[in-house]
Amino acid sequence: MTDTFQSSQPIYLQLADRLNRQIVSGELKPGDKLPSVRETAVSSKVNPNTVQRTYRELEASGIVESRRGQGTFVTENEDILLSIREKLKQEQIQNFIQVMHDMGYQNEEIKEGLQTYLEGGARHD
Amino acid sequence: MIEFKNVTKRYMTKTALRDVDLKLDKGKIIGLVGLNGAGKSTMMKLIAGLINPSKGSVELDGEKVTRRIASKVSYLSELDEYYSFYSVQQTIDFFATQFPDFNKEKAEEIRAYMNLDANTKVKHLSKGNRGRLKIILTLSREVPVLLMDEPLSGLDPLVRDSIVKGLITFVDTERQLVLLSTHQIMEVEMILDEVIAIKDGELVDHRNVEELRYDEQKGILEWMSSIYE
Amino acid sequence: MKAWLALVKKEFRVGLPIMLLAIVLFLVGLVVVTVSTYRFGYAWDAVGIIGLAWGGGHFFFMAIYMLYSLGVERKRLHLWLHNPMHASGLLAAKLVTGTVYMIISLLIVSIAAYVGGLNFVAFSDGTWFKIGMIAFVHVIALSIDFSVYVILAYVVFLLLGRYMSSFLSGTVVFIGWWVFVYLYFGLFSQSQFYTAISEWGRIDLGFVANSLHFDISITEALINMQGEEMSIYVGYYIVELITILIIYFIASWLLDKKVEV
Repeated sequence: MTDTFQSSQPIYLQLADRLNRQIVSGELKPGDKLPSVRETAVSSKVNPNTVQRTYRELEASGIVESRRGQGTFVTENEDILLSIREKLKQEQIQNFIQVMHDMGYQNEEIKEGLQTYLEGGARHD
Repeated sequence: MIEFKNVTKRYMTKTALRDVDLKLDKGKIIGLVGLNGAGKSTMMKLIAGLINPSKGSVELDGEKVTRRIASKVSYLSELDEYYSFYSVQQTIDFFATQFPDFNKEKAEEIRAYMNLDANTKVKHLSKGNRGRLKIILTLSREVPVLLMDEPLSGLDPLVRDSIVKGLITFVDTERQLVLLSTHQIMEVEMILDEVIAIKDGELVDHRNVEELRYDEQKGILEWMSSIYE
Repeated sequence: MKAWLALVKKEFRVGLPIMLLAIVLFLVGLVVVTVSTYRFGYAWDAVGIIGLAWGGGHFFFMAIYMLYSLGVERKRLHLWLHNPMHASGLLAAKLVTGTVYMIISLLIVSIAAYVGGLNFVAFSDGTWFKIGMIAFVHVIALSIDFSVYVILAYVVFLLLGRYMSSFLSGTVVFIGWWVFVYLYFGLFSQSQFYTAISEWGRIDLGFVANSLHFDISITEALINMQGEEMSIYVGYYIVELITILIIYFIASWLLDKKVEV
């Protein structure tokens, strides 16, 4: 988590996003303990208050649970993990489609392009 | 926690601050920005009780600030004059005797973290290392208010980085209020909760930084350039 | 109290150069005078004279000490004044250390004055001791007394320095000083009121030497010590003590409330 944040977007959201991705990608596994607020603050060079807020947001969405006196853990609730996974997917697709639409691509073109890309994945990757 | 009530500070030839009303809450790291001579140091010294307002009042927890507020405020001047005959360790020890809230273990921890040799005489320290010493002395006090006047100025990027990390590591963000003035916005941008802009002695704006990003999609630098043009 | 004692320790370190300077200057003077008078056979007399003169000069010790010590702090007022301690405590730490240094320096000087003085004054041991003690105590007391006025002057100088250049504020303080001297010593201490409040509690000191008369030529030195029966008034001391306490607290108050960094 050493890459920098965008200064024009709320840091707590960017940090939450980052953690969500790490959880979905499996970098952080269900039941894993998150670094403490201060550790995260130091490693990502942000204000501990901001990290605190990120953890609160994540907790509210259910993806992490804080256990009194022990720290914050990635949830082991499959349903929540799946829904986050789904949510991130939808977000990415939405962004992608938005950009394509803005540039004037039609749905058919997009689908075709995606299919071609994915089928010849190895070459393009 | 800290409150400026209609504060004006005049010197013989100029007005350093004019009609400033301001409230600062604990548990925040607050940046104070403004051009040279805008009144940043004046504001810091007023809170430290080292100067008195010409008009209005400065209060800490409802109590009028005097010089002896030093028991609740740790003030780091932009100057770095210490007693030159002392070594780093002796300076730390001396501070520990003057402030009952000084945490010597913490000082030792920060000193080790900052990689500052304990036995070097203060007069032989480089500017960067004097900057580090200031940070040690200021952060080792367990006080409600930390005032840091230009903690990063004139220091090379490596030192600035270690100071910023030191702040994140050693400030108790739940209990302490940190007010720091700086030109180096880039370095501290990610650690500020709030930012205060002053211009020609007047308070221009006081914002929560995350809200600023959320509401206006602006970073501090963009926000500042919209203020100072 | 612990904080204050630690401050005292720091003050010893801050003020050390002044004591060293006083002793070194004295020793240099001693050597110069001894060497230059040795061949005329007056070396011991010279040692005695320089001892007495340098001892009397200690009247200025505390004032110089305070000016030096406060001058050191002036460059780092943000450090010195950023302290929860009352200003009177900050100043007291300086006064105490200065006094200790002065006593050390004065003891060294006194030895020379006594050893040298034996050569030209034939007092009984008891008289020597009495005169010595009276002189010793008075030099110390007067030096501290004088330095308290100097502290106030310096604090006013710091105060005015906020509003004008240090040259100008120095000038104002200098003029103010002499105005004060005129008002206090020229008018007030000559007044009947002052006499009334201070001339009580008479103590007879007996015979006390109060002046030296030198008659020195290249071939001989005649030194006469003249003395008389002397008495003092406790009242003078009390009035002066109260005066400097007031001055001291004014200086402390100004330092606490008005001096700005």
